[in-house]
Amino acid sequence: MSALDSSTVAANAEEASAKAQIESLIYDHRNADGTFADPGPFRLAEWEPGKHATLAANDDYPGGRPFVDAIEIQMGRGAKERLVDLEVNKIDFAEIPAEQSRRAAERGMRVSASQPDELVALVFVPGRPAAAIGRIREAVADSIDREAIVNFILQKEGEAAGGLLPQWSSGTAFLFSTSRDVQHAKELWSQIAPSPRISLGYDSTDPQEQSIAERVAVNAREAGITMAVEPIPAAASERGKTDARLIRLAMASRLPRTALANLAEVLSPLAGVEDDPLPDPATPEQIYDYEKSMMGSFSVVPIAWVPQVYGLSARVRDWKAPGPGENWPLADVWLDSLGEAGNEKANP
Amino acid sequence: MWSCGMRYSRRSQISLRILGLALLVVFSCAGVRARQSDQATSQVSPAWKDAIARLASRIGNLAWTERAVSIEVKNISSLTEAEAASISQELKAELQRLRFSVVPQDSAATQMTVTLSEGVEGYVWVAEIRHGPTLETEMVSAPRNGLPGKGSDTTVSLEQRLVWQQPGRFLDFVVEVKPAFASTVVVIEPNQLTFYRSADFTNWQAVRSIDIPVPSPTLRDPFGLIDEANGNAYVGPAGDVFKPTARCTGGFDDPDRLQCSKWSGERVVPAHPKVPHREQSEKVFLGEDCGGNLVVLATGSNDWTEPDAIQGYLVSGREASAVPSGSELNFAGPVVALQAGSRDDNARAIVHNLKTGNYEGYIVTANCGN
Repeated sequence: MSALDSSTVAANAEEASAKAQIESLIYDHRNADGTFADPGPFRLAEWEPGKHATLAANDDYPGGRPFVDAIEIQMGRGAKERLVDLEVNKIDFAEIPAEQSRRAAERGMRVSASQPDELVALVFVPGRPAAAIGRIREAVADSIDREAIVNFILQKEGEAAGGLLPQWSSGTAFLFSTSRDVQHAKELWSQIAPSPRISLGYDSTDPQEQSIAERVAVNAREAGITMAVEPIPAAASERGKTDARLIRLAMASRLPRTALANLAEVLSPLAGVEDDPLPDPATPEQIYDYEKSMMGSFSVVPIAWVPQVYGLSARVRDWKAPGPGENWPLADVWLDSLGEAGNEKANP
Repeated sequence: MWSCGMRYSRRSQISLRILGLALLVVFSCAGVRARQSDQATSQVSPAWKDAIARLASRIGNLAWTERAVSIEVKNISSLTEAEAASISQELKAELQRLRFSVVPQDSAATQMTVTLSEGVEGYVWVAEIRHGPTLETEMVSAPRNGLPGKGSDTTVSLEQRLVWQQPGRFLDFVVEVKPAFASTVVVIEPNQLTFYRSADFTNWQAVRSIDIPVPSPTLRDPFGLIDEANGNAYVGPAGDVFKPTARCTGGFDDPDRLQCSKWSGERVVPAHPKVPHREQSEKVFLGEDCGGNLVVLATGSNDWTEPDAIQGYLVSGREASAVPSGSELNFAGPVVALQAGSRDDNARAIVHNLKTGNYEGYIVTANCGN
């Protein structure tokens, strides 16, 4: 079977993630070569690329028929539009930006959030001159005010990241400092002559990345580092033209060893981080040492851990925010046409 | 927008109900100490003592000669204040056994900060040791294996016995062993109930299989229950209120007398115990009195794609929060069903072995001891 729409490339990471989630509803599993096998709990009933899709319950699904009869999916709705749709009860489910979670809840919307399981990080692009100088990388890392990013940009939905695993998973994230050291950043930067101008790229379709990138640039300038931000379009050919860029890394598993091994695999080509094997099973100390070794070069600079936040209508029941590596449990939810629910914040 | 579908309830963890003719024993709350009380004195379990000893040993192996250390213990985990205090005391005692002297910070050449942390797989206890300009870090893992409630010398040890296995999924099973006679195993699957007999508990022969009426569409999350005491068995969708779609009656002494038919009567399942961090797990009360506490068994919090474990807990009453006791039993796959057994000290567990693909039925027995 082919993918949902093999001719269409996702415009951004959010779209790519949604596409993968929808495919997981239609197909039971994905082969190593990317093709799909076995029908899933839903079947594709209608499909208008980029606009609309309808999934109907698969009565013959071996795992049991889903509780809902069908799912209608509207595509191309921005974050603000999704929030309005939820507020007027036009839709039952939508992903909403983490920083909108508090405001949505205050407006009476039902909100469900995962553990912080997506890492926003700054990665220095291999091959660029700035990436080759360790003091530049360390100075930029020291200049970032992570607490301010979490408090003001993410509206306290998330936590400052000093390492490559969140505290709830590894239990050792507290050992990685998230503090800013502007003085040390200035000292390092003063040793670099001539001082280069650092360009920081961000996903042009991601408003949250734009806000974070701009804040990182402000922090850098406070430490005397010349930094400018540049939006990066989806086209891959444009991605290599900045010295550094923001990336989002979703945890593949709640288990620290699995999550870290997956991160190493992803970061190895992105940031030139060595992909040495991590012992399996691994002790907390081994995981911590491995994490520390990946961080030592400052090629990857963690900034914040962000949860996945979902808005739900009052009638949705049995929803549980999916954990790392899990799919939307839309085959397991049902709709209560009688009851209402108050605000719900799930912390799996 | 979703179209309205059928409404299915899920198991609830809230209200207490009666199963069949089983009696509900109401426990008085008088004199019960809450586990979370900061005023309670606590003891450290063997597993934690082992972790503390390992941590102290690693600290002792660090290369410096000054044995005067200051210790600050911080707790950023779910351990209570009393538990953290007990662990702190135990660590200091262990370091003193290794000839360290614990002194105030201003007179110590070595400052140690011990952080009681926690990850998804259990506790992580970290010691950061600063000696001059040098900072060393040592850490150990410790199980989420807490302190017993009343009767602090009592622990629960679990043992498992594999009784049945087959390639296809089954929902519940019962075993009747009769030395010198044929032993019987009754297995209920989503669409049939089968009697097996064996004279030597090794070679099993299917004596009779009875079809169970299957609802349409197929059940997504079937639940099965063999009510051994009353000679009945039920199959239906899992839910807050168990509403079977089929019932088998006639007793299990004579396979020929058992009949299965569609059924729409309502049955209820007992409330699940309150077990911290196990809200979505399978849980059962056992009838055993263990040092004045009830025994609870609960599975892990992983999903059905990962190996699982059953942990014993002690709880002072049906509404109290359970405390882990003893070591957990590990299995090669998820525990997909857990039912109280025919005796007060055992339960039936069904495991999906991820390595072999077989479904395995275990009798898990809880033994109380000091």
